[in-house]
Amino acid sequence: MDTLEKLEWATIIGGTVLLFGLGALALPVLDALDNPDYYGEPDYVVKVEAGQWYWKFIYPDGSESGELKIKNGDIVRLELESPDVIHSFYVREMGFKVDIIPGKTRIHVISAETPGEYWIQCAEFCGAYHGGMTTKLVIEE
Amino acid sequence: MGILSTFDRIVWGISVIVTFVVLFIVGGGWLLSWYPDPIDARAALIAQYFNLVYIAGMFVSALFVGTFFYFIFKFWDREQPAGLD
Repeated sequence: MDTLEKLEWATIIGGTVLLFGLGALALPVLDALDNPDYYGEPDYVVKVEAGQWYWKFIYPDGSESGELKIKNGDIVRLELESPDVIHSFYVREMGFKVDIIPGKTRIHVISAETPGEYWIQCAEFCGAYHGGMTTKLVIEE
Repeated sequence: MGILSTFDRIVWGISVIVTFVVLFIVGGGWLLSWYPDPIDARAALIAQYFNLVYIAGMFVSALFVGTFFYFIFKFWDREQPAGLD
């Protein structure tokens, strides 16, 4: 086998191993993103309404707020809905986005593990004030 | 020795390594340091995978781009006039 053939085989085998390896390693990440039971049974449900151009969070006791406030250690099931256009719930530090599509309820479970304040941003262009559609995720001690 | 001399291998290797270092710096440094720290286990898992893809992608890019530079170094005919002169 000459050098060119060796290089050819190295490229084919190396590329195949890399592609399939990365594909296999992506499976647990995809499961973590899509599986609503990833963190186990949620402690409570918060309904999230995303509209032009506001965020509204409705807690189990019926109270509402413009910021998402949860306690450290809670596992919270978010039920996200939109009355108008597509929005996207995005917390950079949590590494995910959830598109909120009108007429559907999107489910996403989050785990509060690090107290602090984080930005929630709409990550889907939703009109003139899309850029201002931000609020806070507050994880309390 | 085949079609590649020791000198060729050294030039190729250096081209790939230099390209990797340049891509690494341009790409944001060590493990996407500009990205915020993950705050939960799932975010850490996602960040870990992103870092892996980042390194693997950079390695493959460096291999291809570095090989391209190696071809330029090897087959560049320095006796031909350059440009429009």
